[in-house]
Formats: sequence, C-alpha cells, structure tokens
Amino acid sequence: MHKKNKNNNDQVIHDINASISALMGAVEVIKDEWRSNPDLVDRLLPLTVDKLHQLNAQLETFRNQST
Amino acid sequence: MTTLKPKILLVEDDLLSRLSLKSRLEIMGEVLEAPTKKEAIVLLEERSFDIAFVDLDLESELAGLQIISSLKEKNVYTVVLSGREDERVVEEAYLLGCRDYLSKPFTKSSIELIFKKYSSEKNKNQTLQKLKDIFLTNDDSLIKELEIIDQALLSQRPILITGESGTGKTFLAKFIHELSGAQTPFIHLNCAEISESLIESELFGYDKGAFTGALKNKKGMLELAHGGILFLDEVATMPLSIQKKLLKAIEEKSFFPLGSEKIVRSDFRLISATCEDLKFRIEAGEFRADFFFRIEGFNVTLKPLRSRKDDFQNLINHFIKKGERRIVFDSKAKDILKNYSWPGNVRELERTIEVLQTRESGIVTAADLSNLLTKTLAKKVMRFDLEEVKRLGLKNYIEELEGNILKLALEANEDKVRKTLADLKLSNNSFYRILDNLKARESERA
Repeated sequence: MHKKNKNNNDQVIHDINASISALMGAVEVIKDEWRSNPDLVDRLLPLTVDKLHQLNAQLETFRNQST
Repeated sequence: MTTLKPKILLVEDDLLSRLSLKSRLEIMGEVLEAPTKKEAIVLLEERSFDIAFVDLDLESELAGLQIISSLKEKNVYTVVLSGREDERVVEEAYLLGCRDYLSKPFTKSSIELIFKKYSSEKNKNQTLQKLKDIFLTNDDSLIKELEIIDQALLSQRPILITGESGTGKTFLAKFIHELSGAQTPFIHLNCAEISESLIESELFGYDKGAFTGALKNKKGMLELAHGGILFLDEVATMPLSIQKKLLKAIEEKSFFPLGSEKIVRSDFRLISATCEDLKFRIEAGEFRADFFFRIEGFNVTLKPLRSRKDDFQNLINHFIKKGERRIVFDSKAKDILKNYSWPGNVRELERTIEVLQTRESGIVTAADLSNLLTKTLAKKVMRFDLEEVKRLGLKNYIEELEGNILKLALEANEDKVRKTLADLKLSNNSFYRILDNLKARESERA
C-alpha cells in the first residue's frame, strides 16, 4: 500500500513537472511570436489556460496526498 | 553542403507541447506530427524522415523508448524530449540509438543547437574532405588537427591556431568563416603590423576629438565584428595593456570607444593565431595568462612543411599547375627541395615555384635553387670562420653577421619590422643601425 502511494505520488510530481515544462515552452513561444504570428498565439492561448487549470488540479492532488 | 530542408517527425502526445515545439521546428524543416506511438509507426512506414523528436513519456511512462530502435533502423537522427534527469533513463535512450537528449522546457537556442549538430554530422565527411583538399594533405596528424574544426563549427567558443609562419593559419581562419556564415563579418587584425599606439584605436574605435587627429567618429574592429568573426593574427605581439582591455570587452561583450561615454555592445567569435609558444611568453611576463585562457578554446596546431614529407609532391604539383608554366626538377634539385627546412613553409614553397616558373629554362637545377632558398644564407650565419674573422677584423665580422641575421629574420617574417624587432629583441635604434650598415656594405660591393 505504501509502495502504491509512493508510486502515485511520484506520478503526480512527474505530471506537475510535465505541465510546468509545457507551460514554460508555450509562454516562450508566445513571447517570441505574439507580434509576428498572432494566429499561432490565438491557438496557443486557450491551450495554455487549460494547462494552467490542469496544473492547478495536479497541485491540489499533490497537496491532498501530502496531508 | 546540403541546403535541403530536413523532414521532421514530431512525436508528442501533449497538445500544448506539440504545438509549441512544432512552431519552433517549422522554421527548420517540414514537420509531421504524431500524437501517439501507433501513428508514429504508421508515418515511419509511409514516409522517410531525417530527424525525429520523441517525447519520452508518450502516452505512458517511458513509452517513447519503444520507438527509438525503429527510428534508428531507418537512420533517423532521433532526439528524445524529456524532463527526466534520471541517468539510467538517459543511458537507456542512448543505448537504444537516440542521438541527443533535449531537456524540457526546451529553448529556441537548444533546438537550434540540435539542428547544428545534426547538420554537422550529416556534413561531417564533406567538411573534413574539403579541409583535406584545401590543405592538400594525407598526413594523419594534420588531419587529426583539422578534425577539431568540425567540432569547433558546432560552438561559438574561441579558436586558437598555432603554427609557423606560412603554414596556413589565416587561410584556415577564412575557411572557418566561410563555413560559419560567409555573409557575417570577418574582421582581420594583424597585431604585428600595427603600432602599439594605434592598436587601441583600431580595436575599440573612437569619438571625434578623442585625441589629436580624431577628426570624426570611427567604429572599431570590435564593433565591426559583431555577429561575425574577429581574427587576431600574431596575437602574441599584442601589448599587455591592450590584452587587459580586450579581455574585459570580450568577457562583458561591451566596451567604450576612446573618448566616448556611450557603451557599445558586440558579440563575435574570436579566432586567434600565433607562431609563438604563448605559454613560454606567459612565463616571461610578456603575455597575460587570463587573456590566454580567454582566447584558447579549440586549439589547432598546423604542422610545418618539413614535417609533411608525404604531402610534399602533391603541394609542388598543385603550385606548378596553378602557375602558368610547367617546370620539372633535376634529381639534385629534387633532393635540395626535400631536404630544405622551408622556414617560410607552404607560403615559401608557393613563392619559390612562382619564381622558378619565370625563369628561362623549364628544367630547374640545384644552382637555380641555391640562389633562391635561404639555406645558403642560413649556413653562412651558422658557420664560424676564424680566417674570415682575421681577414675582416672582429668588429666588421660581427657587423656582417648582425646584418645577415637581420636579413634572414626579415625574410622569415615577410619584412614585418615589428615582428622582427620582437623576435630578435632589438630596439628601433639598433635595428636601423644594423640595416644602415648592411645597406652600406652591399653598396660597396656593388
């Protein structure tokens, strides 16, 4: 049971890091392209907002697992 | 080198990551996406790709590892994408055949570096062959040095080229520039050709009125080199005070022109060249150690011609062909050519062939060569003749010896006075005294 909890915890941590990486990558592209490529940014922004919500949920899970 | 845009396969399940990365990769080539392992395999069977970016945790933990071998079989240059830093995972990816590992979050510059490495590998054999062709060499140890240039092209680290005069240091620097981007600036400063008082203003530039004679603003070489290459030839002769100032400018990528309060930013690649042993100069207090560590990065040493016996005939044939007249050497002349020390190296060989091609006879003899080559003069300098001393008197003998040494040194340095002064550790006064005596003696004989 303890091992299973640890694995779940590791997975959540991995997912959180993956979400943060995805967000950082997307924000970097938005920073470089918002003037020259507005169509791309229009596609990226809603996905970025969704990812932020996803990250929020993952952090919530992590907090719940920790307590 | 190839200019065709590569075909890129992007295997990433996360939509946001895939879209972000795709936007970066589309600048580099034609991109096809696969959000799942299954779709990636289908695309791989239907089409050919040059390079693939694969998310390690595609759909499930480490699932990306499962398609690396398939990509390797198809000779696709595979880059794994991951936020994992676990060494075992990295090792496994490399063992399966991935060529590079890109940590998330990736930056624009890290992607550009991946493509540089990919292009370099694709063109590696072409670059090395080009270098072998232009240096006309099959010499193993020289080729090993030239291989360093391939590595150097992937980075912006400085390059230090060492080798005797005439071995091709400037030639190599220009070739590196051509491969790095011929449209970028190539600013060449020969530190031995310029006086100490002028070198600072040439490098850093100046504002109008900075000193007497500064009638208008002038951009310095550091500024002109921005985005390209600054080539410092004969770097060992750079004054210590300038080394210090230049070191700061290179480290900070900025400097103030003389008489200016406005900072100038400049980022360039530094290539330096010298025929001297810089470590020896550092020990002698004539070269700064911190400056040395700044200019060395990739160190390439070009062998002297006398150590490239196997290349000799190819070089002679090349220069004969380059000239307008076919000439041949008799057997004694061939021996002289082979045994001569060639202090001026390839440049001296080229010049010798050029001169020989202007002679009346198409057959070069030993007598033709002995007048041309400095060997005779060198022998005269090296030999001590007591009878000659008695005949001339010691004072005159020494003056004649000084003159011959100066003549040899000037010839080896291509008449560069500053370099000759430094090599012989002579003051200006002594130099001109010896030169005047030499000219006077030559006029008497004439």
